[in-house]
Amino acid sequence: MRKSLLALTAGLLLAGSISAASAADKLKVGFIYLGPVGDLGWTYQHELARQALVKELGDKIETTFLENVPEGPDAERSIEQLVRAGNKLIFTTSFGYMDPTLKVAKKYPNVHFEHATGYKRNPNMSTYSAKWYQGRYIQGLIAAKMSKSGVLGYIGSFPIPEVVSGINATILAAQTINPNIKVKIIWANTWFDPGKEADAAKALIDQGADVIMQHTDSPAAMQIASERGKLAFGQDSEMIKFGPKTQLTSILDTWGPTTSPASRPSSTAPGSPRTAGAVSTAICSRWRPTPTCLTT
Amino acid sequence: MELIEAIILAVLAASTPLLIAATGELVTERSGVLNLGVEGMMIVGAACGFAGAWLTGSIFIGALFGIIAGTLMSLVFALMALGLAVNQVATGLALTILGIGLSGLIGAGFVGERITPAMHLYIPGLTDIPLIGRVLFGEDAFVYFSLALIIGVWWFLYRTRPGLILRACGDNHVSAHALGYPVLRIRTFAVMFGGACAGLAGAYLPLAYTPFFIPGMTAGRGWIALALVVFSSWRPGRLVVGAYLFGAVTILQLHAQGWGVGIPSQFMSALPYLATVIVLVLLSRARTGGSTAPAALGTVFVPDR
Amino acid sequence: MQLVLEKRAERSNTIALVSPLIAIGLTIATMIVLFAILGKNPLLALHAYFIAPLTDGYSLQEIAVKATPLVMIAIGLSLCYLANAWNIGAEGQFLIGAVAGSWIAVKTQGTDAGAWVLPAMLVLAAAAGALYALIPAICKVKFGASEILTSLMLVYVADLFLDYLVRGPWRDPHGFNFPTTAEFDPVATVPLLIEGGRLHLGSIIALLVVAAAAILLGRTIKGFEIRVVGAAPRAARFGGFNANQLVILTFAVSGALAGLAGIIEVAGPVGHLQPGISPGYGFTAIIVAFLGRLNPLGILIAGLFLALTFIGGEQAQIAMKIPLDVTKVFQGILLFYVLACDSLILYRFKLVFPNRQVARGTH
Repeated sequence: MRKSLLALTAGLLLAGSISAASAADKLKVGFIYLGPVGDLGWTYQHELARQALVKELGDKIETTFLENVPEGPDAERSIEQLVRAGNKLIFTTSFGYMDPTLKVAKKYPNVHFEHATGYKRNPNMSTYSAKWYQGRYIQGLIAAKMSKSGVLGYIGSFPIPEVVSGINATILAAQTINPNIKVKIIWANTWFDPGKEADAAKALIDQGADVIMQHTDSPAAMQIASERGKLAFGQDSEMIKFGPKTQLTSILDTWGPTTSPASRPSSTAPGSPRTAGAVSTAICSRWRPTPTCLTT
Repeated sequence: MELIEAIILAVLAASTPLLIAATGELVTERSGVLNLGVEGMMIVGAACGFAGAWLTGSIFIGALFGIIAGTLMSLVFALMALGLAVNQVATGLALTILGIGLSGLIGAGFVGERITPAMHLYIPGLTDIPLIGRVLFGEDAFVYFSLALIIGVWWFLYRTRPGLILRACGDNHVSAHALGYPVLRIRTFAVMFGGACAGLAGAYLPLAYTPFFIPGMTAGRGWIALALVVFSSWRPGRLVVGAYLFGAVTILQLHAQGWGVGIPSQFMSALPYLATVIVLVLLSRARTGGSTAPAALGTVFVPDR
Repeated sequence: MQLVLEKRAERSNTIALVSPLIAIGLTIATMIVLFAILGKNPLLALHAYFIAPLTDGYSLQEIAVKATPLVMIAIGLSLCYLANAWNIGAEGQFLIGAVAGSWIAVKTQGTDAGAWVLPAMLVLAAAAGALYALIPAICKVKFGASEILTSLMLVYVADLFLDYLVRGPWRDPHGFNFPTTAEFDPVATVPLLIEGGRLHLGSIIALLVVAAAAILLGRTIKGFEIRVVGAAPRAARFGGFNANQLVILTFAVSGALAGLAGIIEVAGPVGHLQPGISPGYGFTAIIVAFLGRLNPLGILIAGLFLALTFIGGEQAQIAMKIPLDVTKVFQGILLFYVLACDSLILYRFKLVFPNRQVARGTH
């Protein structure tokens, strides 16, 4: 089942589940972001979704966001601040917001919460996530076919399920093409440190990897692969700018409605507050043949 | 062999921003001023450096922008800590907060843009020498500049009269003042030099390391630079050792992960920090006599008129 | 003609009281200009930053919650700084305290352990924070290794160690492999002061710490010793005070307070151990310590004030869509003003005429 933020928001609007709101009132939608809106990765993709939401629904909604909210003791307050500012639909866009979101959700039963990538739910708190591992599986196939050295390099951020499942999917897929394929993994222990990501990419290439995959947020690894004439996959956002001849495909976190026809307001939009069930959001893993690829 | 060369090249690149920023802070601290705002000056240097390079298409002008931005930031610090005799630790930390905010505002328009990074040198014949050619003649200009810079600073501090006076201000500002030296003016120049270096170090990141700007891309390197100055016991020679040691452990732990060493990655990531502490303790133990820190470091000086 | 600073014969108590007001006045003036440039209504912005958070009980509670760890850590740091011991690794001591206290919470999870759990957690956290702070202190005293470097580097080590624990051994078995321990049992949780609110017992503990520090510094020999060693090391040596001993003591106390703050934050507002439990408390507390003039009561006020700017910045982001970066710039400027005005307690401006300087140069 594919839905998007737009579908959810439109659903709330259509169903008129905010009974107190008169026709003149706008639905206020709040977002809690983990990074700065310009991180070019995870938060940036959510910000694009928010902008798309504003564009599609115009003056029916009013959006607010809080950026750079750490996943620690401040999160609960930030979420509650959004509630108190009158937001009726709140997206908490990172795993670490799970428990704070749940706490606030229990306190304010009339507000709807959408939490990214978690597993705890409440009548007014749903979760949404993406099946990244499916994209990763395809990437694994591509990587194994493109690799000449039989060594793939993988830069991990932190060993959490979404990263580990991505690595597993890649390895399983690559092995169906080349049973002897090697996947070298380096944990950067950060989501975001362009310098360190670049260093990790260099180390992998120096150890013989000729296809670089990453689950960290900046385009640094793509950039290094491009400099060294290797191949790489993007993460979160389109990174082809940083490796026009290097990027094979990119995992795009497209949370907004613009790229997916499934995201138009439709009968699948939720009516009353939804209880449970992860919503798989649109994911694009695009095969983009480049001149280098075609010759091989 | 090729792998060793590749590792050395990566270490050079990783250590260079640390070395440049630490060189500047070394001079600042040698004059008796503790500026903890290196991270803030670096990130503003990164934002302005990228902006300059993107607008003009020139890496050199970008670097210049970074230097100017870092210097301006350090002037704010000088105004506070030297002009108004405010506590240096608190001022430096406030400068970091200001810098993070400013860099975000300056850099907001440039997120997602990319530039062509600084060219690597190529001298036919020399760069092609196996093993050492690319290390000695094939990196970007920043790498060699950073080494020239620290040699220049060493020469200045230990072989010139102004350098001696600067060290005198750091060791005993009352005596330096009594001898008729303008302590505050000398310190202001030292702080500005520190700012210029931090700005350049910050600019190195988007101009040569990863050719794009993202908020927060210095990722704590300013703090490491500060620690390296302490590590060096305020001596240029040991600063080079410290910077390359830190860079080397950072790169080697990544390689060790790639080779599949079965130690949790968190422990590997902690190695550069632990190595610095352990080496410092060993070095301090071997040393006899008192502390090597500039005696007046971090203390406020207001001349009696 | 030149404007220079001159030391006052005595610290000015009038300025000490007035200086925060001058700083706020200057800040308001700057803000009006800044927000006018950004095209935001300065009055509304001022209201969002400073007035709105003070006008409802909810925000006041949040200010107290946010200030609690800052004040506790800053009190400990102020003792260090008064004694000239440069502990800048409170962040690491905070994390290690949180880890140590959480160990009890994790091990007693689901058992019928009684009311002893929370007190034991607090004690262990303080002890662990103190021990962790003793590493740089002993390295300094025994080997002469600078505590600035060692304490800072140990922050990163503590952070990665916590990370390892919550991703490995202490991971919640029912947590789908996400990096967090299970939610602490009620006996391992810091009790709330107001039902349904967020204010917790930690705030009371912080107040007690402030009171204790005020008594220590103002009324005991030890406090006198700390201040003398910091202000006049030579005199202290003649007076028979042992500076090394004080480095160990102040580091231990500040580590213990940071560790205590750590476990209170984890067992209170967060409720479980996870990475990122500190949004830089250990570093922000350094500013709080100096903003509070290294004085316990001053630190309490400074902690609350800084917390206000955080809460206010958030409300400005929501109400007026002012970017976080502007709040950071504004915070930086505000700190500069406060610090600069404080400087006038000890110094005054004086006009100097160049001819006098020439005269001085020739003698």
